Amino acid sequence: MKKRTKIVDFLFKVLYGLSSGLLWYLLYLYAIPYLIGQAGLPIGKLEYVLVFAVAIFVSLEITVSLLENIIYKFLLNAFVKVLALWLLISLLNNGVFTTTLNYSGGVTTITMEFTPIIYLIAVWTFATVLLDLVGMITKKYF
Amino acid sequence: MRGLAFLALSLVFLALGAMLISPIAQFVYEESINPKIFVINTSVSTYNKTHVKLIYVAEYNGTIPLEEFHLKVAVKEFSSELSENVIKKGDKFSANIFIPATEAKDVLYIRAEIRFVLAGLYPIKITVEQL
Repeated sequence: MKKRTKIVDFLFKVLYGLSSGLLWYLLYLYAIPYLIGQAGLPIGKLEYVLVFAVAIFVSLEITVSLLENIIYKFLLNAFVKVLALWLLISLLNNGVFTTTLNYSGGVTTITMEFTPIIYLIAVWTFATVLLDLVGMITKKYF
Repeated sequence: MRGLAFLALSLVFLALGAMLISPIAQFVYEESINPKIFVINTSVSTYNKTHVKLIYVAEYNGTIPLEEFHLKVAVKEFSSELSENVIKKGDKFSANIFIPATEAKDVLYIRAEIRFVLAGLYPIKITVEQL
């Protein structure tokens, strides 16, 4: 009975980590770029990071879920968020968009910087890390 | 409790994000329904016996203000620049280039550079080269 509970607990943690990893992946590499794209801003191609990113996010989040040490849990979770942010910034070409339009008799080059949006997403990411830190402290000491 | 705080934080940032992205969305939407949101018309007139005047009239018809506006037009080695702090819907301004009449016959290469900050947030640079 006790062994079965342990297996169920393990499976639950793995499932939790799996869904959590997929959630972060979908949020940073699909939902946010999709919303930005809907506003008319261009986004990069995702294909080359797809399999790699899913594998990394899911495996890291499963590890976070299985870890018992609260500090390691926090550090790894923060790493996942920063990694997601870094991939998103790469996808958005560091917030700079350049395109060249060729037409008969002329060339037009458009360069646009949309870094304020990148800063906002970065601030939100670090605010959630801060929230995790507060959660960790209250859980450990209070 | 932490989940609730996370949700509240995310909603605040989502609202901020919507506010931040709205000028671009508006600008792109206006541009898609009216490609003449920003137009530059060119005309030529005789200035005096030796020179002709190339007139570039720029007109903005969008609702989002363009800050730190800068326009530079160059024809061969002759150029003209103009700067405005803010331009709004309906604003019209011109840049003139005076070139010798002898040079005007084969004016083929024109380069225009437009720089502005959309809604004071997003720097945009457009370079047009007429070959």
